[in-house]
Amino acid sequence: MSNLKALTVPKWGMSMEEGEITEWRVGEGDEVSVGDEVVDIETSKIINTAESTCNGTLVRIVAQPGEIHRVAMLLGVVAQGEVTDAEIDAFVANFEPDAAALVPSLVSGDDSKQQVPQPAANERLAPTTTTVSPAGEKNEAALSDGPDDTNVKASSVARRIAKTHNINLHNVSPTGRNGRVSKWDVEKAAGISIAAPVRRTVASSQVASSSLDDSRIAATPVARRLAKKLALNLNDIVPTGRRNRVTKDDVENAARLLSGASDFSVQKFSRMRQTIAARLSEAKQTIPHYRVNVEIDIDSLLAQRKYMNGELGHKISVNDFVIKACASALKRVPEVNVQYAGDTVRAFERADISVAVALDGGLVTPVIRNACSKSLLQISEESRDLAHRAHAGALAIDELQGGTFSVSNLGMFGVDHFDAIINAPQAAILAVGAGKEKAVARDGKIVSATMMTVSLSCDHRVIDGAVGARFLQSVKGFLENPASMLV
Amino acid sequence: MPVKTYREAINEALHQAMAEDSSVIVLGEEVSGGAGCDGSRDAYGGVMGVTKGLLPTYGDSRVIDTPITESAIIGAAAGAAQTGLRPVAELMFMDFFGVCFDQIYNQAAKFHYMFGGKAKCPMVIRCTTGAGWRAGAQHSQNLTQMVTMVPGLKVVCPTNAYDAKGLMLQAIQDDDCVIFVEDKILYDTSCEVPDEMYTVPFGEAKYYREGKDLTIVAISNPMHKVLAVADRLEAEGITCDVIDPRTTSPLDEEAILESVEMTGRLVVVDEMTPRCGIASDISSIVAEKAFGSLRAPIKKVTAAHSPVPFAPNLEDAWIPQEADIEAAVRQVLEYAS
Amino acid sequence: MSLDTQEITKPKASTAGMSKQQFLKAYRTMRTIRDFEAKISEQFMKGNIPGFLHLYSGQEAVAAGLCLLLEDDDYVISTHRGHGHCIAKGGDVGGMMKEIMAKQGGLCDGKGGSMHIADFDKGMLGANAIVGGGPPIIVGAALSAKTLGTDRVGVAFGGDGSSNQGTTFEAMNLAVVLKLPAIFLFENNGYGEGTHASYAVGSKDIASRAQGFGMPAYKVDGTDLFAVYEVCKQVVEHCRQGKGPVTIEANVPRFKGHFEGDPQAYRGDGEIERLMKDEDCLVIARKAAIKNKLASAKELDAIDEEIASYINEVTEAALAAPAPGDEELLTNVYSSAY
Repeated sequence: MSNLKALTVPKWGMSMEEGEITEWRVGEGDEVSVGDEVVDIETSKIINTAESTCNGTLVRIVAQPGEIHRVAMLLGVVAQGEVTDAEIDAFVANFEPDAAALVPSLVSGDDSKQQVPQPAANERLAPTTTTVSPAGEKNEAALSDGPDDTNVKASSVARRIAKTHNINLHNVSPTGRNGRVSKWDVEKAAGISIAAPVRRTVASSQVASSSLDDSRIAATPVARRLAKKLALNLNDIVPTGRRNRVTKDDVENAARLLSGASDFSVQKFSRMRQTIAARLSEAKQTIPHYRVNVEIDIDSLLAQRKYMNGELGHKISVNDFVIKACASALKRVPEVNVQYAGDTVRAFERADISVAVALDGGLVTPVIRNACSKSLLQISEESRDLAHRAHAGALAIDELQGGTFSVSNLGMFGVDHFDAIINAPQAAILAVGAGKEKAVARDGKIVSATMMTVSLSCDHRVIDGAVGARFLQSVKGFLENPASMLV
Repeated sequence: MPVKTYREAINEALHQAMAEDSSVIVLGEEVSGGAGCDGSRDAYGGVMGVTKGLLPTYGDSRVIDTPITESAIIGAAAGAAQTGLRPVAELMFMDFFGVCFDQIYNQAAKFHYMFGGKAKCPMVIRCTTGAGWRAGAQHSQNLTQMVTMVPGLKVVCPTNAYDAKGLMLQAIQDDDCVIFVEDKILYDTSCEVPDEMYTVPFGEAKYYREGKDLTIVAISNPMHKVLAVADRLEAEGITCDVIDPRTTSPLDEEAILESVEMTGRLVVVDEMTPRCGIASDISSIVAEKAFGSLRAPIKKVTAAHSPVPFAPNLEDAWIPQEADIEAAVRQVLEYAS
Repeated sequence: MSLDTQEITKPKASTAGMSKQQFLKAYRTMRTIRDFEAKISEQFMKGNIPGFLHLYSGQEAVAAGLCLLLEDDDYVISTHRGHGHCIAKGGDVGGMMKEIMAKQGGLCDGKGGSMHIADFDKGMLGANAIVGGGPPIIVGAALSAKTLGTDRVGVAFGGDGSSNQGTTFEAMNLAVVLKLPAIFLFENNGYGEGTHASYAVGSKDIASRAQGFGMPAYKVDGTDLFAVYEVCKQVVEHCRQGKGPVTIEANVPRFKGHFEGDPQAYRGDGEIERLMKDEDCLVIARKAAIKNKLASAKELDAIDEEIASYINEVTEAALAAPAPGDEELLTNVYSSAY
């Protein structure tokens, strides 16, 4: 049995005694290594992710989502090499928590005090010596087996819990008052701990009258956050959780009903997502945006690019031209190379261009520093390198900070035209669409030209419309006459 | 099953215990009444009528009217208990404990321990409590906490006729000194009570209601107010565990802690003064042993910290009322954790 | 001799018709009490006895004289000054020594001590450290005897101090009302702690108080074993016949302080020396017995020697015995399940 290892509830801080299993990140049969995030556990203070403390295959999940387990109790079993179910069952049944990790008073060295018999209520804290997995079918069957237990002496609460968990009271060793089965006896037999949930309190007239305030509705913290995110009021959600608590599932069901969507899944925000959401919300809500658009004829640009990439063997993208054009335009119209800073304006000399790079589940904006002093080739190489490392997650934090202007290009997706949200604290961003062949009038004739629409979003607090327009005109000029950028 | 009053239930228990065991005697002031008078004996049958009919059945060697000398009554009961009898002594009003408390807490309670387990003191002290009779400061108090704190004593506070009979029979057969606190407000309440003898064990709480939102523990007559409040709340969809410990010593801590672990909220109600009372004691036990389960501060509903006043409006204000209980319950329920 | 007198009675015959066997038993009891207390006084000084001691020295004739007339199933209840009563009632002396030294095998498992010394097998319902605590309880014992139809009697030992307590009055009244076989034996040693009875007892004597409750009462010279025996013989018989309670007031000297270590500044000059010279019940009994040929000096000397060595023996055993186990703390708080 030495090739079986226990994953146990970690103790996050002195005050942590137990945690509710929120979600397993790995499944039975998955390989886990030391440090792998395996299961989310929610305590009264935080949700955290327990990491694997051993290498091997997760062969048994003992602690199920929704259950509350004490520190040091068994979460799951990891095996190295082949093991049989019987071996796992035996490991689970014989598991003993590390006493040192349990409540400190239990391991007090004061012998004289320990000799004094304590009230039974204290004994429930004693380390559980045998934990039976509720997930192990064999054990579950054994616990529910037995003759009618109506006449087994048990406390009201113990009987209720036993019924809920399908436990026959004949299978529980009574240690309660006068030989009665106590709540803690049932919990011990089932290997679970059931604590008080938060209740909903809508019934009070006072609360009912202020139905919009849902702060008193009992909900899991996750459900509460999710409801807020989805703009749902907890009063409108039917709770199905233990002890009438609104759960994550309840919120999702309510959202589905309200939105009419057939189905959707909800994923946890990544930290990047959280940052994006927070920063863009703030930018959109606090910066007075206005936008100016212009169509740019890029046929000569494309001809130049074709020659450079073909004959010269470079890998210059249209966006590289755009970056270079913006850098040049910022030099010509420096009023756009600014930031709003309360009652002052920061005017930048150098054009540091942030370039939006789309990633799975988000985007980053690495910065090409001093772009106007760099050649098109340098910009091209640098932007390719940044994009590559962005996908690899290998950018340094200072490569992501400190731009003075942003370029966001969705042209590669065939988008004609879009508006972008300013990348605060910058004051302007250029949104670039795809170049499309269009019929245009030129010198009184209808001719075909490749036109690209760009949209400049400006912070009106520091960039007026005419300034924005002038800047856009300048960008247009550089892109339609690429040679001018080389000057 | 026949319906009997609280008074009848205790009377029946005494009758049955005396019939079954000739060592059971009853003594106290006016337990029959009329001793030495020209009129009839068994004139009172106890001032509350609880011992009525015992004298005609068992005679004055076992149903003993005493002078109004509480120390002598309790001392005699304690001495008799040590030497082969099972006395049931009546102290009429719990307020009278003061004049004989030495015999209760220094003598009867301590014999067994102080003499190394060689003495036994199987006796019952009956007394009444409960305000609301406009009986003033010396005939209305509930002093259950004063005896509950004494090691060696057991303290019983039945809240209904069924429990009263079963607990009385248990008290008489118990080998310790049992303080049997009868709530005079409850004497005329009734419920189904079996004719045969049965016992209700000490230290096992009764759940009057089972619920999930709140735990209410109540001692003696306030229990009936609690039940009225609980039933109103249930109509609003709030359900409560309503727990009657039935004995304050031993106390079924387990039942209370288990319930609080499930509900996370506790209101304790008694009709004692607020300091160092049973409500305080239960609150401290829960705070100490189930703190992690609490979702709201514990709320106590008790009498006021004053002697029991005589004026009806003042006495009603002194007594914990349904409205006080309901307010406390709502406050605990509405507490945002 | 009337059963209801306020005179200090002297026995009609100088030895009150006591047999040699009875005398030797009583003498042995008195000597045991005297030696036992001398020994615990010595051990107390050595620090081998926790708490405090109230010694009975000088009052032995009262316990010995009364208990000659009692059986094991008669009841006595005692006071904080209870060693003499326990020994006279037949209490296990070895068990007493262990109890007073707080040792395993003590009569009360080391949970009572000197002030709660008891031997329920011998009808000794305990020393009671509440002055006036015992009389109500002995009324209960007497009530048991009456209710159960035995001819047992209950004796409440008390002092001049307890004669002032309300509980004592209540008990005496109830005993009269219920006509119980109860004896209230007040050993008036002249002192309630450090206050003299002539100051603290308001009536001219204690016996007359009993008469106020409608109870017959005796006064007796408590230094005279034979006088005590003669009075008690009639009193016990009266009670056994169901004639109701009786009070006895016995005047005795208190050789020692209220407690061991009491500096006794309240005593008169030479008072204790005079009492020990003139009122030592052991000396008086010995003289009378030899004079009346109840026993020879040689026989009595042999008893003295035997008891001295017996007391040494139980002392050694008690000193060697272990203290109660820590686990005893919470045992016997209750008789039935708690």
